[in-house]
Amino acid sequence: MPFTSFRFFFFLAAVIFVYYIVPKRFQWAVLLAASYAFYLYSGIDNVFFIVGTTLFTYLSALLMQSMRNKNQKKIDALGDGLTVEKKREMKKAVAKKIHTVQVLTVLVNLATLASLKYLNLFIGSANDMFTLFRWDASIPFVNLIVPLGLSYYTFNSIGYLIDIGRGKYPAEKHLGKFALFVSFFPSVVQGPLNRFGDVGVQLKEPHKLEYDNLKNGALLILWGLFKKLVIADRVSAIAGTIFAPGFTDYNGSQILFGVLAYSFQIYGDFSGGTDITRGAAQMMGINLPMNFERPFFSTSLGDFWKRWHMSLGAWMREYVFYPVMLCRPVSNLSKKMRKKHGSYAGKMVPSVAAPMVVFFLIGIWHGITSQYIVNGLYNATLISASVAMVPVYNKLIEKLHINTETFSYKLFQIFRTTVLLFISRIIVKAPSLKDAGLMIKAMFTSIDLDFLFGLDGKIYKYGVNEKEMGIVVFSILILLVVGILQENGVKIRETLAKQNIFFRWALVLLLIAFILIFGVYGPNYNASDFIYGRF
Amino acid sequence: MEKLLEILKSVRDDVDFENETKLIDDEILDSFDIVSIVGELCDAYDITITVDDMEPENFNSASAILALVERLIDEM
Amino acid sequence: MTKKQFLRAIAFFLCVAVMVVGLCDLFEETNTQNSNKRFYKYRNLKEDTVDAVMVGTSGTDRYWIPSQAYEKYGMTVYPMSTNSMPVFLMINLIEEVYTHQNPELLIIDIRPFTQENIDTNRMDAKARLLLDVMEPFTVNRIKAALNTMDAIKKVEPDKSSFDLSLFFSFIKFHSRWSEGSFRIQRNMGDVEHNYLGFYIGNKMIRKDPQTPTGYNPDNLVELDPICEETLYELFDYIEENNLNVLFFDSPQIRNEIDMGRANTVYSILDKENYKYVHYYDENDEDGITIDFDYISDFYNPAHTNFYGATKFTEAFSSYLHENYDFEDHRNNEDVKVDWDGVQDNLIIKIAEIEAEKAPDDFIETEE
Repeated sequence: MPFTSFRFFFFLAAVIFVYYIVPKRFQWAVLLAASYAFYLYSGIDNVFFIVGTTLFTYLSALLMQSMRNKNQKKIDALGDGLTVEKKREMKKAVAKKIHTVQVLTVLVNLATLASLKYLNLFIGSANDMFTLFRWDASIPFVNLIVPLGLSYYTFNSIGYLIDIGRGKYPAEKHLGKFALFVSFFPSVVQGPLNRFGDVGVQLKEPHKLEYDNLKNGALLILWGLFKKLVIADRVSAIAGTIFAPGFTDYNGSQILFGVLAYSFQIYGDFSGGTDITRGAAQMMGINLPMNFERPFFSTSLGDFWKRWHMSLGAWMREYVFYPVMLCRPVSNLSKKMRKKHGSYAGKMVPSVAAPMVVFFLIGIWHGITSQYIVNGLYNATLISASVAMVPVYNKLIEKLHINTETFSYKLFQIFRTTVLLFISRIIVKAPSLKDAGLMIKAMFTSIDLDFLFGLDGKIYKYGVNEKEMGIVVFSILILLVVGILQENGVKIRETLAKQNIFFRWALVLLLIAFILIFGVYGPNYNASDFIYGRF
Repeated sequence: MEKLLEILKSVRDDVDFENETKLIDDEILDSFDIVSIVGELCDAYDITITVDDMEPENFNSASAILALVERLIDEM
Repeated sequence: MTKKQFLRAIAFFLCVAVMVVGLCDLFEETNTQNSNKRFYKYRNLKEDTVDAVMVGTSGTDRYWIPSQAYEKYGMTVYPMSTNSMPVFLMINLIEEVYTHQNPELLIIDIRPFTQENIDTNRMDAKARLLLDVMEPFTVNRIKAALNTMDAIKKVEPDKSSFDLSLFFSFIKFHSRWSEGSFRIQRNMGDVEHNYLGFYIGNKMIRKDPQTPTGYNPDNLVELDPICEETLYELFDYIEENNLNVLFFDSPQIRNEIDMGRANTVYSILDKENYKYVHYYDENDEDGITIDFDYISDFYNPAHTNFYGATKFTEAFSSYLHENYDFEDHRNNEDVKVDWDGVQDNLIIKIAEIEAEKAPDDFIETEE
């Protein structure tokens, strides 16, 4: 059920209505039923996988918990008969066993994810290899559907398993409430990624009807609709044309135009969808983590990944980055480097290793083609390099007497980051790696200012005509203004609430009208259909 | 505490470690800072900081970090 | 949530609703303006003042001059038609006719039954031209939207059939804002038709020479399945509601295939014993004779111009006068208020257009 469809809003309204009517102790059940209804709508076959993952994760966690509990009972039973050291030994022993279970169960989840998502690709590659070696074998492709939100609910489950393995909180005994955490419908489709200790707990709690929640949630949904329907869905035609396979007119300015449009498209689409998700959850009193924080104002790639798909970054930090950085082999190597080559070298080992792994994974999360992998490595290299280059940069800044506190320096950083990001987008969006290389080169070498400023009228030929472009530019300006306000700490909905009722209502009504008129939705209107023919 | 403050300042000399109590919550330190601090602490006190210790509570203030270090030294 | 907050929320939603209705008005398809006025006038005629209603396509409001028939015989025969009226909404249109008036006679143009239903985009567009002028918020309107979805599903079974925009046309038409010819509507709100539904525009004085199709009753072509189905449904509807019906064929120049379809309709009408009349067969004593001048009486193969319309109206009103017992309403105050003087105005208007425009100034401006 797409988030921007009328169906979804009717569904949401119905769910919210029932949610606040039932006795509070049944609210979780309403959400669970709604989540599965939502999920079933996308296809009955799909459900099998999420149920499987839910049950497997639930039972694995209970297993780990029982291992820990049993051990604790043993320790308690033996009481003072144990020295502190013996206690620590027992704890360590069981921790090791629990860790093994944790690793195995996480791997099972990962393997499920990888096979459902990429099995056909693996089969294809294997078949290619067979032909390469001229073997007559060929594996048939499997008719697998990728279940809705596979990556998201799998990662949520993995996070939960790791948390339980670490003993962060006791495993959830209630299957229904756990199942709700895995399948919660606003965030199952495209995130944000949730922690059981945060969202899981919220989902279990009762929620009283708060007018502010309803109002602010609805406003957030409106804002998301604005970003997605007015901006993203409109400019999607541009990137679709320019990066289509076979489109080989590598005019650098055209590529620049295309990647610029593509950037707004994925931002509007993803962050708009997230706004709708978070707004819907907020209307039910659930606070989902933020996923976007004005990524256009990023001053470095590292900064970017703290503003874009924040929940994925946080997940990686917690479950990949720190573990890799602090794991035995890495920390030992780091110690050795420090002893031999000083603290800088020692720092470098984890600072290079961890981002490499993280961004490789982020690359694969998005896709397994060579382009995604290259993009992952591209990001990893740049981020690792930026850490490694800190002393070099500092020297440079000193020598050139650059004042890093100024607004102009910040602009420079934003500009630099934007260029690096454009390269990243082209790597992913181009029809092939080779095309990507050519396109990037073109973007820097062949500039056509007439095209870029619309002087020769050609930029209106990519599916967005002059009038529509005007609306897009206007909307982006609104985004910019709102973004600048937020960067400076203004909380938009709070500030809005303090204004006069007439102003508030007028502004919101205008926004609604704007979305209704300029949003891309509904069947296409084609004037020629209406000109009657023989009759 | 003196020694600890020295170490912290060597990683980020622009942060007021004496008084800040929300180093993680307010995102004053980022993940790379933490990497560096952990490295320095492991070196200076000959302890091993593991993933389980990577809780915001343990790094939100200089005193929290000191408590963590002391606990790890104890457990050795 | 406090009571105050709840009331405020309700008030806000009302504001949104009002705004949405206003927006719908702004984005209406311009092709429907003429039909809109026609239907609106019909709904506002005084109760029980219409003798007969003609239902059909755009031809209907271009070959029949209601005011002329009224001036001569005092009969009130009103055209209820839209451009390319889709056959699958015929019964809904008839429902609408009988909701507001109680005509003694229903005159049905068989032209819709010779249509082809192949292009679902066209079917959708044709349907909207009627849906958008039907009385809103009625069960009939909802049924018409559902019939449209059914018809489209019959032609393209794979296409997802539920289309919310058939109920809320704004969903389809809001994208008109980027159209070059979009103008913020100047007449927001309903306006009555000036000539009792008869179409007036520059093309009504245009003369496009035609070659008439010969009459060949043996040329029989199969009807489009939806047309045939609707025809039989129509028969059932007529029986159930005990309607007095006259089928007829409107003046137009058809190609062989469409003529074949028309013939098939006649053969079905013969079989089912329904009364019909046309003007093709000179030897048919029960038919009408119209002395068309095919050089100057049509503005395109499907439509008579004003001159052709006068001739048709003369012949057909005479036929109605002889075969049906319509009252002479010229002394009825309830009728006079709407029908008196319209013919005079029409003549004046035609003279105006003739004076200003060369017949080939084929501009779409309408009255």
